[in-house]
Amino acid sequence: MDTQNLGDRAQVKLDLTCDAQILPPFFLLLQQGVRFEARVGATVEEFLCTQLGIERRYLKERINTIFLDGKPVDDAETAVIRDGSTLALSAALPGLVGAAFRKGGFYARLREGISHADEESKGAAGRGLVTVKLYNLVAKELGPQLLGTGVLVETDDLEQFFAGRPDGFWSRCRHAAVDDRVSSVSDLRQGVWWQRPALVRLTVSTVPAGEGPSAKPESP
Amino acid sequence: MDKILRIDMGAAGGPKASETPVGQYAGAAGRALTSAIVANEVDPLCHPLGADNKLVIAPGMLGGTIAAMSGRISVGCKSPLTGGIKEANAGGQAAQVMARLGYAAIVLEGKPKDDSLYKVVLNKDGVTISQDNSLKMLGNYDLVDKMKSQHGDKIACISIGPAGEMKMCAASVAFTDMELRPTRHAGRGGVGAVMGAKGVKVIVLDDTGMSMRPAKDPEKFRDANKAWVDGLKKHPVTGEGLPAYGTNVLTNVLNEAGAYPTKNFMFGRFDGCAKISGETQAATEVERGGSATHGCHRGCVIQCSGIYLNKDGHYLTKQPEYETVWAHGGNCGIDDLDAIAMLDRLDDDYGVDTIEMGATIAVAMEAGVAKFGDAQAAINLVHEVGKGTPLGRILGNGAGMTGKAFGIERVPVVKNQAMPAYDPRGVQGIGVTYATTPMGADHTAGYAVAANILKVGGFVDPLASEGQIELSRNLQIATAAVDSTGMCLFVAFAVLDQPETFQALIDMINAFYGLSLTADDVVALGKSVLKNEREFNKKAGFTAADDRLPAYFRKELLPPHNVVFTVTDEQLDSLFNW
Ligand code: SF4
Repeated sequence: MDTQNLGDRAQVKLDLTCDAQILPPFFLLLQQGVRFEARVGATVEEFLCTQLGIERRYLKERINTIFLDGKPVDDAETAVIRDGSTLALSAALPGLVGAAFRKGGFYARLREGISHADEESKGAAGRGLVTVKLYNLVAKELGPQLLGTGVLVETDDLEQFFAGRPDGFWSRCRHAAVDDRVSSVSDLRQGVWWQRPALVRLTVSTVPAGEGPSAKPESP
Repeated sequence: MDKILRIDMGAAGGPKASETPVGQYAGAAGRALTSAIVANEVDPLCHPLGADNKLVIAPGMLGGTIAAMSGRISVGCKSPLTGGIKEANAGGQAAQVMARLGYAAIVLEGKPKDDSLYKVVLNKDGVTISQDNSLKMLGNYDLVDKMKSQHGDKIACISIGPAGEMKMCAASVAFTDMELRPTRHAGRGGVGAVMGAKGVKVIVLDDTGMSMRPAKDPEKFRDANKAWVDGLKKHPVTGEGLPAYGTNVLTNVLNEAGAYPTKNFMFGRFDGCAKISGETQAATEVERGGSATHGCHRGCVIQCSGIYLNKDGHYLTKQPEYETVWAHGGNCGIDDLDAIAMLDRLDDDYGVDTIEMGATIAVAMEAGVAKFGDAQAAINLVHEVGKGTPLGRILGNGAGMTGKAFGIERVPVVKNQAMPAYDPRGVQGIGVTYATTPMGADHTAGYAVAANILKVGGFVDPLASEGQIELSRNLQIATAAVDSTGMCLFVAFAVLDQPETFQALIDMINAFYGLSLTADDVVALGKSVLKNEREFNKKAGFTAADDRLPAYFRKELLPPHNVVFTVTDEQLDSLFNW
């Protein structure tokens, strides 16, 4: 099996094609965090909008709460990502604490002490790996786009995810390719395709429910 | 809603009911009414379980009307848990039914001569009180089934489980939901123990033959309600986030922030968080044929609740809320949603507060009574509570009692009430509210994030150094006002972001009562409620020393951010200077 190296981390490529109705469970994978290769040293806004292709308006209006390395970010235009950063994105949240975490919100003062300070994320520019966690409506809305273009997933996370899926999920999984070679979905379910790479580059494409098993995967 | 029903449980010859006009309490409802009656009529030094305490149950201002979200109900008394004044509120159907029957409040007074249990039935013909010892030690679910078989399914019930009968400090008062299940609880402060001390097992309400309360200006009221509903539906939190994921949507985010109290507040992050998040919970509910979007009462348009089915597809409980999932989940190191749902069901059935129980079990786990992460052991401990074993009696009296019994220093309580699901070292501002609210540690006491619209106490710059104190004060005032309207607190977001939605709320109240209230009047209402409550606590012996977090929050660093609580005592003491 072909492997590539990203840093020291071996990875394989897994392209899945499934019925649109089983896409939502994949969003659970996004809440745990998926990786992206990134130009680090860039601002959060630059990373999300220029590198991942998220619309600026969406970032401004819909992504209400951002954490960089566990700290609430108030300004996506000044906070900077570095190699190994974790970025978590959420839509508006309920409760006083939800209000406190809003970026630049009226109640930001309430979480003083853990807010992200821009100088914390200064680091060398270059290539790196960034973990992105997508929560709630943001996962639902950005999930299809990001899964369609591909995300890097920890093998353990993906194995656990597959292990928890019911029969109905697998019957709606139409097609699988590992490193561009066709693989059977039942093999995938049993994990026999696995050669323990550290990371899996996963793309998930959908076909409308009811299309035959011969449906071709869309190219990412 | 122009009369108060008083039942003297200790009257000669047995409990005696009387109806009085609202009189001096005219205009007050919900928390404003429960706190006014308790402050006026209850001796602050009385024993909470004695004849001199009173249990007051009151729907909000707009209860029993077509106003959306108006079905919250307040329960007030002197708390056996905190020793101070208490208002705990809940959803469910009872507020609407009770308001349509014309009652602004039900007040349980006195104390029965023996340990007999009573059932109270209220309908259009009046009140019947009967002794029924066959109800003894019934769980809330069996009790409600029995009431259904006796009174039909058009009723709403207010009841206590075995924990209330045993007068435990964690005991709740249960309210039935739209499906006539006892899933909505006035949980905090041991209000169920006070109902138990009055000998009342259940109040059955039937509004057959009664109609909606009419507004003074029906047209304006209808228009304002429409604007209100539109505002709630178009806001991303009340129109999308809460309906899709419920309050448990907060789990992932609090965890990411490192402010998710884990294993009895030892850590700020929980490894198993993704397994119990709102996203996972909603997906599980939908996958099993339950529902992730459901209201706790008719007229709720946000629908933050849901229906949780077990693995076999049978009803287990309503969708556990964020605080419950945290209390029984991350706080006890448990990452099994089915076990958490079972704990929620048992809490509802035995009639205990989920926050207090979860916090208590975590303290017991730290003491070595069970291992962190052992879900079955947690379930067994709740059964101990329900059965009233000696260990169960300790646990059922809360985290403070359990900490003392087992010699544990890390006991997360203020005024002896357990802290909810936000570590005050991570979110310092909420620590200010935990410390200073008259209620004991309570996240909802400063929840109404509309404070900036209300401009409570003048405009506050949240980035100024005194911002935390000012904000907490204003939030507590605004919340006291919202609690009095009977509106679910989750309306707060739409009200915060959309001034026209806030205006619609005031318009509804004005059109209904023929008033011309302004935002200033709403602020004055909130202040007067808090003033009543603070006064009561002062007379009950509370001092500034009670407005403090446990000392370890200032000393123990909370990983991952390694922060401590830094708001000074002087700042805390200035909170009520207005
Ligand atoms: S939003 Fe939730 S708590 Fe509030 S009334 Fe609706 S279901 Fe009940």
